[in-house]
Amino acid sequence: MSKFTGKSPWVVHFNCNSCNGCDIEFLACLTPLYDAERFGVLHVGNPKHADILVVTGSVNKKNMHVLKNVYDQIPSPKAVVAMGVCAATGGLFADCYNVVGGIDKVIPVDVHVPGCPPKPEAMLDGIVKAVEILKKKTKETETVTEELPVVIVKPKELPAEPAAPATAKESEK
Amino acid sequence: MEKVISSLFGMTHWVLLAMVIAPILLGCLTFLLQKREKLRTVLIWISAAIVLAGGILLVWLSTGSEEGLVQTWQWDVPATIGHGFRLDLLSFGLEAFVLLALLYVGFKIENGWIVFLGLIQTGFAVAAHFVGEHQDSLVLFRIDNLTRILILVTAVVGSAILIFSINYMKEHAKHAPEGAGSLGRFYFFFISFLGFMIGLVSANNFSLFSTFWEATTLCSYALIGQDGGEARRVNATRALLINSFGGVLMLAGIFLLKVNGCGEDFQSLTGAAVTVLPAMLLCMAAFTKSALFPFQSWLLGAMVAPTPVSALLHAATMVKAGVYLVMRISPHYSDYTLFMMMIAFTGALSFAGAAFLACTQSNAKKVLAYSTISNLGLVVACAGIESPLAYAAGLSIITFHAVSKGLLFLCVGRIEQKLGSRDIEKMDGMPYKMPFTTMVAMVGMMSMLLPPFGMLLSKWLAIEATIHSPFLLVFLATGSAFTVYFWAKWMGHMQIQGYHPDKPVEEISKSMKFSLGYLAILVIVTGLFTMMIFRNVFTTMAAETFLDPSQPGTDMDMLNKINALNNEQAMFPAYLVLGCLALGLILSAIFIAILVKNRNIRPPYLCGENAITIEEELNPEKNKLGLRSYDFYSVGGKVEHAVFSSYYFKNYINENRVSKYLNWLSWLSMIVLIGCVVAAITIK
Amino acid sequence: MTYINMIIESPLLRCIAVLILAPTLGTLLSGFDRKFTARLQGRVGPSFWQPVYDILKLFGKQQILVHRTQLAYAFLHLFFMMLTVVLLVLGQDLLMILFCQAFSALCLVIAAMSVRSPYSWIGSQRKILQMLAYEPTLILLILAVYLQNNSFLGAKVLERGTPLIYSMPLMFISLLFVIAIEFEKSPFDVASSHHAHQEIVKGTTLEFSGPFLGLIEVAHAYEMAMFFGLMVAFWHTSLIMGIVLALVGFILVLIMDNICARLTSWWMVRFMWTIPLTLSLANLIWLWR
Repeated sequence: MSKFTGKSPWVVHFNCNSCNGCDIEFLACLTPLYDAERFGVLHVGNPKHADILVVTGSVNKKNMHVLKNVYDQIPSPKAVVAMGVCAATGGLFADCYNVVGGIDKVIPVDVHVPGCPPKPEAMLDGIVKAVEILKKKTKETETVTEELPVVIVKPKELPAEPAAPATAKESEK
Repeated sequence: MEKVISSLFGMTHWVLLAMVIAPILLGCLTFLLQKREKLRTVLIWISAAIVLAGGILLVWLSTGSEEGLVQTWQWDVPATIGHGFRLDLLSFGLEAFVLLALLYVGFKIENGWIVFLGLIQTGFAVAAHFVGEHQDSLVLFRIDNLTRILILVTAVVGSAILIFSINYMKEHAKHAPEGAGSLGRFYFFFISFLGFMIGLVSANNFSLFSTFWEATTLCSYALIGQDGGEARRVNATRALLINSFGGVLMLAGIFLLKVNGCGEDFQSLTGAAVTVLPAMLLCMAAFTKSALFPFQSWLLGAMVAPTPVSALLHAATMVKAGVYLVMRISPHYSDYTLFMMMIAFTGALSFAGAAFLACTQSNAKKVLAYSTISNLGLVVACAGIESPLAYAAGLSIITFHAVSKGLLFLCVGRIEQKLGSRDIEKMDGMPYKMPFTTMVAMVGMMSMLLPPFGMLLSKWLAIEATIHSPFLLVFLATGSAFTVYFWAKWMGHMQIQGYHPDKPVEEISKSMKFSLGYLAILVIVTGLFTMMIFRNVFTTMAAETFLDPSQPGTDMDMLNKINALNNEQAMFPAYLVLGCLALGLILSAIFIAILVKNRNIRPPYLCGENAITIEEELNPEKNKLGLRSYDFYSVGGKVEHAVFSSYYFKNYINENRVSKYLNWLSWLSMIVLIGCVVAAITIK
Repeated sequence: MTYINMIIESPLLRCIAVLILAPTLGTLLSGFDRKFTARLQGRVGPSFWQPVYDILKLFGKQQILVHRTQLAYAFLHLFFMMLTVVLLVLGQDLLMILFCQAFSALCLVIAAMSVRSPYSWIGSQRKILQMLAYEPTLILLILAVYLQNNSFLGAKVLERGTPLIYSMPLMFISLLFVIAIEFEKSPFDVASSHHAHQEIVKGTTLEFSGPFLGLIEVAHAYEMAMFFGLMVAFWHTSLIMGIVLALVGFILVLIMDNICARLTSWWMVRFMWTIPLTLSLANLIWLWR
């Protein structure tokens, strides 16, 4: 099966905390000039269909659980590509009050693609690298993400349930 | 006198009489003993048993198999017995009694229109009795195949609904609003209705027929108004008013038949030119009873009644009386092509129109009501098409629809009591909250759409039979698409659920479980043997009705088509479908058993903003706030529930306006119908 | 040749053959679709066998589910689609085949509605609208076939001397619109488009992943093969002409896919209930004699 995993890497792209530079560049890889689809790459919008998670931007305290959820919803075998310096280390935003750092603070990363933004060739290269790593994984190698290092602010109380009326309503008139 | 007594010697006579009278007596008894709860429950069980056993016995006794044909059983009596006493005075007396009851109700609720219509009815009834020649012998009751089917439906579905109502009404009475009628009153009308219904379908003499017809109308009126209150009073009055209008039409038809010397029972509808106008009036009366467009408003209003009433009177049996009348009349009038085509057109219009309006409703009972109207319309269309295949399809819709729709109404009733709402939008997480009811309801809804089940089979054959009526075809094609649409929406809503590792259990009383399970098993079993039932019962009946050599216009092609159903090849797909269903369910059960482990379960995709993971949700230590994995963080870290709502096109389609247009269209078709009949008479 | 004859003669072997061949044909068609679309856009595009790789890959992935019931309906979806193809090959009643196909689609809708996922929900609501949009046209198509052959049996179509396309050209055009809906092509790809991942994240199939998505893809391959077969049946007298006709139809649909934007579902219903339905009716009136 790993043979086919390598031939059809479906990519889901997640913008964590990016300035959108990497995103625009990454989406441009699908255009006729670079044509990522010739490697079988399909850009899906949904982690449940994906094999490779491409993350741009650094992680902040607000979205780390989102990144973790998205990662958890990808079926194994899966690979993660950290696209750009922000995803690798936090980059320009590393010192911000809300930034946790690179995405490897939250999920395991397989490929780091440097650049701000990376060149399209580097991006495609990164995907191809991820495909090679993906081939070695099986569906049993399921990496469970550990507890998050930072506690997320959770709501204090339950949202009010809509109360069920006790008797049958007169709905006809 | 001796002759009368000797005519009563048959077992069948006694069973028939018992079947009509016993429910009425049991109803009275329940009324008198209403305060004693245990005794009342026992009485209801007894009534259900009597109705079921009696119905089956009656059908069995009246079926004499001679020369391979299923015989018609009839009850002849001489018109005059001893000392010149005319027996038809007796049936007239019953009729007058019921009409007086109608007038009394009209006076009591101070509704001038009902009194007016009641007076006209009385006038026609009296005139019909005293004008014209009297027959030498009377055929009071007549049980043929059509009647047998309706008796079976009434007995089988009626008894199940009666059993269901025990606990339902107990619960209902607890929450009943001020001014609601007592349970005794409810059961009096509910149980005696079963007797009237069996009388209605087996009556042959017009006096008796209209007696039972009016009696069922009055039962319906009383039961709609059961819970008191303004809305119920208005809807009950409307139902009575529209049905009284139908009664006027029917009695006018009967009067015309009598005046023209054709006779006073169903044998007078021979297809002669002089009987066409009365036949049309009877058909129009049938439309009011079956709530076809433009008379649909009373059935929609009738949904305020307690659910067992909607299930029994307004879906399974009473509204079937209308289509029964059309089915009875139509085979004799196949010569009058235009007349029959307009009947079929009115039916097809109701089929498509009601299905369309059902798409715009989120009220479950209203959806069911529209779907009922739609199916009744299809039966009328089938009756009007005048081909054996369509006739057989119509018969099978009458049967299978009663079972499936009765079941669905009961499920809705139960859901409504548990959730406090009959809104489809509120039916969320049902497989966990009420697993049994949901499963049963899904069986009911599947039986409306899935190929081997009777409803789809009949629709299929109806479409095949319509092939020579281009006009109807468009209606059937579009109506069929709408039908799929609204059922699909509802089925989807019923199946919304989250993940639960443990097996849910539903608290349900034994009698309810029994009646729901009984109907569901009936649906499944009839589904398994649909083809066999269709071949052996309905096509035989249609062939008997149409193969009369004196009936030209028989579509031999279509009859050959029915015969083609006999060969194995046609049976094949039905079994394949069932095999497929079974294989799918078994395989998925195996896969589910192997695969579904907590670690393979993920919450739905909500852009990663899920408030909690499945592991956390299932662990009460970590999930102190009681969050669900499908809740999500919205702006500012607030937890929100995802809310699901179907399309109802409220912006595009206004129910009232569409109904208005459809009503105008169907009034127009009524006028054309009258025109066609007048033309037919003058041409002949 | 004797083997081929043997397969054609025996219904059982024919069924088995078609159950194997139909998904192959379906995946090849979608491979052709992707390659063709890429070439139209001036790209190299994926391999011709890409959809096969995709499906095989999906079967090797982890089995992630939202809840149990979802899986049951996915299986029913696949089985009823297979049944539809089998019934078609056996030359059974066409209306019955249509109802089986509708039930199959319905199973997918219920599966997608059951999972408490807003995107999946929207997709399934639109999927029902799609069914509402094309169903009358398909029923009229089948009735037109009846008027030609005096039989609803699919087998009777093959016994005709002249191709159906001679007498039903307008029906063929409306069938193309139906096929565009079934194959999720623009402007009708409202329910689960390959290109709609921004808007509804893949709609109906959103909550299926790994092998279960594979099941649905296989069902889709069957569906594509079935509708391709329907187009071929319009010129049944010569297999080559039939395939040419079907390919022309398919390419027309693909071109429409590439030059159109996705429009609203409500527009789709209105469009399908006006132009293709009118075309079908016009053709029907002409067949009535």
